[in-house]
Amino acid sequence: MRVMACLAAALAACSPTHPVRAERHPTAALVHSARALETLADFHPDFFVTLAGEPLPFHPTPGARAAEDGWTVQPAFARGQPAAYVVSELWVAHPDPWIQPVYILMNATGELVRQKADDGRVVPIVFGVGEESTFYSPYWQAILVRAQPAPPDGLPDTRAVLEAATELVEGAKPLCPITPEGFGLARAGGAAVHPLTQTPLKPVSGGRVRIDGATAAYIDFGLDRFLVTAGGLVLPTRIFFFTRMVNGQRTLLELPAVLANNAVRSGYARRFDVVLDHETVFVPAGGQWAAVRARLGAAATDPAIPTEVANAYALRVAKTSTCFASAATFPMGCDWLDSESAIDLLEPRRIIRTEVTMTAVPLLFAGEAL
Amino acid sequence: MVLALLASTAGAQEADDVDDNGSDGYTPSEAVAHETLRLTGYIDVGFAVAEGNGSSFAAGDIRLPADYGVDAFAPAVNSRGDVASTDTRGLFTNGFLPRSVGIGNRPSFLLNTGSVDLRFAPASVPVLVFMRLQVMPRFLPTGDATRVDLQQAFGRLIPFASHEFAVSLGKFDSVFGIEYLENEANLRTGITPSLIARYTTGQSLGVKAFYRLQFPDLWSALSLNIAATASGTRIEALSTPHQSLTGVPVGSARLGYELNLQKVQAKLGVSGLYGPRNDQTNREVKQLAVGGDLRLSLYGFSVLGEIVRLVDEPGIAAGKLTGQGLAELASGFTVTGFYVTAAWTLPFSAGHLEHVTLYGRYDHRRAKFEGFGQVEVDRFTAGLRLDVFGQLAIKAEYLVNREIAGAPNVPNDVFTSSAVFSW
Repeated sequence: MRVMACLAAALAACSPTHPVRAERHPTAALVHSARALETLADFHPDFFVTLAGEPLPFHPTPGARAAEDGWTVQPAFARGQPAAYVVSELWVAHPDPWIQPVYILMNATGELVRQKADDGRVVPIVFGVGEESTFYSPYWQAILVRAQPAPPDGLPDTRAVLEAATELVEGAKPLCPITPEGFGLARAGGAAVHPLTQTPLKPVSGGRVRIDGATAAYIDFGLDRFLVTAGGLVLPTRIFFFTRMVNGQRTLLELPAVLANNAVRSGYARRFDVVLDHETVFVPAGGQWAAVRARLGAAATDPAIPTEVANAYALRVAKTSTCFASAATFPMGCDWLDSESAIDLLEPRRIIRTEVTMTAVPLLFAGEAL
Repeated sequence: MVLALLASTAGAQEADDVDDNGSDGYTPSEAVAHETLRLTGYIDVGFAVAEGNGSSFAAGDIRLPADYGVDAFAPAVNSRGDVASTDTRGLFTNGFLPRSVGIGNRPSFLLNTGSVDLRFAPASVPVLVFMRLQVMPRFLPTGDATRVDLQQAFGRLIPFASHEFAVSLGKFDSVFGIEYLENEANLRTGITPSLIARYTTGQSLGVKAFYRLQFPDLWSALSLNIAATASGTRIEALSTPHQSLTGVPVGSARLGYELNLQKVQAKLGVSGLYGPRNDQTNREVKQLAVGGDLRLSLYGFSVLGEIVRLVDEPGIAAGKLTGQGLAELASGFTVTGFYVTAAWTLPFSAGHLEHVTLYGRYDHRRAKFEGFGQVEVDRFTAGLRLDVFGQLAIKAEYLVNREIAGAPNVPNDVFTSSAVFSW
């Protein structure tokens, strides 16, 4: 018996320890998870994507529902101001992504101008890697390709592009997630808005792309919205999510995140959990906030605080709640955790690096719709 | 000293000799050593030149990892499968590279391999001890990259004198397919390995058993070669053979049939492999391969071919470990490939020129990393081999590498030659 016990112990000691499972969830997978009501990295199923007909999270209008499938516009704070962002990719315990090539067909001669078909539409671009790849990322290095006119549906893949190329010119670096057809920002109808402040956001647009012979859709979030090393490795910034310890477990709170000070230029972010202790959340007065206040155990607030001001500070974390009690001292009397700089003043042990990274694209930052 | 080290494994029945020698260690008598110890080997001196920059990486193709969208193994220059270059122009790769001799497109002499075999087989017991030590002098842009490799080291036991049954323990050749039989430059008809050799010809550490049943009336035999090893049958550049990273061995086997007539020989076999991928640490992530092979030999002509289908499941955690170091992720991968080789030994000899052999090979490979486009390539190889003095093989061949789909066209044809001195 003793020998068997020793053997079992030895076998157990020999068993390899399994590292954390690496996950990657491009937008199509986030849609799938929303349909399956799957929680990803402790985020609620509708955190990333709101399906058509489903309630829009944080939306102040009761019963407001998404008209189409789209990325959930998440409220946030950055540099002490309301911000908004969407998450188009999520990775867990995954190496940081690499920049990948996007080939853009240009005129064969003369000024560098995108090739157009006879109907005036631009010829589709070509992504070097599709979203099924372990190494897919929405961070691209544009290569402008001088070539003879291509068919209206473009060239099928990298090989065809390089065969047709007469000159390759390195271009800018766009951030373009591959998406399902017709995908965009989740909205109730009309323009997408910041869910708490109702600040209008700019619409997003995209186009058609060829990838290894297939055709897909993408959304273009613009240029220079991520940081990359000279070798092509995309560098993360930080995004802070508030948590509390509940029964010894770190529990994610449904509160707006805090974006890094450089988030506009760094759409790839690593999640850091901020463990709240005695801090409290500002929840505006009013019946529509009652459920939220109860859920968060938030302190009472002065109903005299103007709605516009209250909405701008809704769900913002303050170090104490004493300043909530009087419209006279609100908000200047509060000490807020609403910027990267403010969070960095907390004890380091309360800021916990996680294995979760994401494409977090700011849509509203420092009062400016992007 | 070397003799003493080797002989120390010989067995207890020779203990009396130890006493006779009156030394602390065992040294066989000179007569016994001559009887049981054989020292053989070869040196392979090459000369090669490749097109382009010596690699398969095309300028302008900046997809990452760079080794996923091309066949980096195509511009091979020697029997080890080393390529002229793996220069990616600074692009990130993820552990799917051959070893390189680093010559780029510069014509260069190469000392491909210096190989020493030590074989100790006492006549009185059915045991063989074998070691193959190889030195590969290399120079890369990073400086000297010479390697010394204990390519094989195993003991073999034949427990029954009445049966053709052998059990080997240690590091030994693959049992999958037939190309491993030609791993060494002195045994290979041509110079370079096929495009599927990377999956089937690696050595690994473990145990294997071989059994052959003869049917003399039918001029036939059936054989079974089966192994349980740390890494399977992939070459060491892709998967370390020296330890199991998952704790579970990889099984591989070949079932063969052979017909041995006076003028005609035919051999065919089917092979399989199944077990955890040994380039990552999770035992649930599997590799699977099946293959078939055929060899025909008649009247100086020989034709042989092999086909392989291999599937790697995707790794589930970050980290990929190969014989060349740490990479990021073990991606899902599938490949199907085959080759056909034909050789004709001309029916004449002249003085010390013993054989003249013309040979050619066609390779085809279709591979796909998860989420990447399928890469389809082929290769035509033509060559000439001269055997002189009984111990020198002079070989020259030209490789025409073609990218059919997925990978950009790139100049990566190779001329290579080799003089193999055996001893």
